[in-house]
Amino acid sequence: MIEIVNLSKVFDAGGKNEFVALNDINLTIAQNECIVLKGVSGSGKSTLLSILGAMSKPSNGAILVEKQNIVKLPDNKVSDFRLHTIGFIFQSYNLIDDLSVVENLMAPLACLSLSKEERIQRITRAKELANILNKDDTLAKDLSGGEKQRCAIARALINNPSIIIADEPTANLDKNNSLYLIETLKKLKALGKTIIIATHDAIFEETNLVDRLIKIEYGRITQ
Amino acid sequence: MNSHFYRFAALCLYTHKSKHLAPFILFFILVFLVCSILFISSSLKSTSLTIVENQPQILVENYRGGAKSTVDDFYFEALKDIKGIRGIIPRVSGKYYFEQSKTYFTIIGVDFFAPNFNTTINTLTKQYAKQSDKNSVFIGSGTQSVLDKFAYKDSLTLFSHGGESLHVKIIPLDDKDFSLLSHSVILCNMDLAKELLGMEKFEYSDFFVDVPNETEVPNIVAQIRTLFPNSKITTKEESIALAFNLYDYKSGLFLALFLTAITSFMILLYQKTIFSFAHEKREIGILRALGWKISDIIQFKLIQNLFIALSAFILALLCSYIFVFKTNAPLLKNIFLGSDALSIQTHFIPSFAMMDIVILLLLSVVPFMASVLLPSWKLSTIDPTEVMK
Repeated sequence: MIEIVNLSKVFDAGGKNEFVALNDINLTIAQNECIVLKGVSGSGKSTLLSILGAMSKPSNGAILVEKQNIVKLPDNKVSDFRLHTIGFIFQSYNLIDDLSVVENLMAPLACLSLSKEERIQRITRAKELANILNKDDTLAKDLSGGEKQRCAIARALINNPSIIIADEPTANLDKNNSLYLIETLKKLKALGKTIIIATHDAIFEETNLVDRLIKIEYGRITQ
Repeated sequence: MNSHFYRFAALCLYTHKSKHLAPFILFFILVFLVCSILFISSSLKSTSLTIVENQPQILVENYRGGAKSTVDDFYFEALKDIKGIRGIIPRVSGKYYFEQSKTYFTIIGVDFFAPNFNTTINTLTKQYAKQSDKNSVFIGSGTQSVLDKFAYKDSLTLFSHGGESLHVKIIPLDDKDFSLLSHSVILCNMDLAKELLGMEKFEYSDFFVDVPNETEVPNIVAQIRTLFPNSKITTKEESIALAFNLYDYKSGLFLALFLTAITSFMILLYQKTIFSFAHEKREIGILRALGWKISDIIQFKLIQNLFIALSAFILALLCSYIFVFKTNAPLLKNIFLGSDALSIQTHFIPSFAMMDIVILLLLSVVPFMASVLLPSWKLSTIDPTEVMK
């Protein structure tokens, strides 16, 4: 379970360009729940996702994941949390362009002491889940948008994380690829993953993937 | 860290090889230049040291009106009464201008059957005593290469100071081990040398004083100075220091230039990593977002850049060794050897201090690593989302 308690994020606090991105957010997300954060650009949903994904620190508040406040963790523990618990799917994929699909999948495994068999097993499983099986040696920069997204999903799943976070996952995809992504997310939900998606794409509302829709406006939860 | 981590670091290094080429080449050039200078300087110092160490303790030169003048028997007579002197060894040497190549040869007059001023010369005279006669000259490899250009194979016509032509037989010296001493040398008997240099029979260029007890040297120097207040007296210790200072000064200038160049290079590298290289920033941001710790990023960059720095260093070291000791450092040697070297080939004897190489390694690799690792560390301490933007 994830509990977000009085979470705030202020950029350039006290400065000329002070901007309140998140204002006193309180939210509880159950295990295996799929929630969608909706809101216009600049509403704060991506900021909330990056804090949930332990990729930036809030100005105030706490995030309890299985009762552990990840905000207070030292950097090494936060990195471990990102490595083992979070699978982050970025809007712009954030693949290393000059590496092949398999090499990109190797990146999160590089810091782990795993046997060769275990590595191969994890890569194969992630590729199957994300359905990117025949592109092993293709460089990331040569993939289509849909393929890049699938590669990014495979990389996010490589360490079998319990929480999947996706930031505008359909923003750069056509409808077919968007539907395909939703099917993949459904598979992940069926595997017991908690899924948090930030989007303003209405396509998610038309599916039975989403358990709860949360609207964010001006850094506050309004619905 | 597991082997997979090293493989991944190597893979990324290979994939981004074009990106790493510029620092590699710059680093290679800098180390190559400094290594070449160190090798030349070290070789010349070592050869100079060998020459000076093989000479007696005190050199006495006569100066008249600021210009070097000759000495004569009067000097030797005056020194007879000083206790502690084992012997006085006069030297006949000077420059001979070879018009055809516009080069100066060094004429050294020797006695083939008695001790000379330098034990290296003695080795040569012993070796060639049987071939010596009044009309033979022994030439070093540099002199030989110049004469070869003008097809002087077996004989040569030299001119005395008075303009009289002297036909001499040429005998090349096998002088690999005495290169600096003999490379531009014409070794001949005293009488011929004096004729070529325009000296009278009783005149010499200067002389050495052989003192068996080294602790007596300052005392004897003081006594010689009292006898000949206008003469220049140089001890072996001072000669060694002079030889060292000469090459240290030249290599020092280059090292100062190197430090300036390497500092500029490091600043460039630092700025490249932290400000301008979006690719580098993005890669660090992605790896951090995937769960890499700060220490993982540092180790990742350390492996890659240590490989770049060490491979460039080793390659530069090998290339400079070949450049100096196999090809005789074309262009660069002129700076060290001056005009004589302009047309005379010098053979550098391989000699270098391991400590110099270690210091160079530390002075180049450590700042290189720091200029890459510091910005990488700085970037990895920033939130991944900020770095990836």
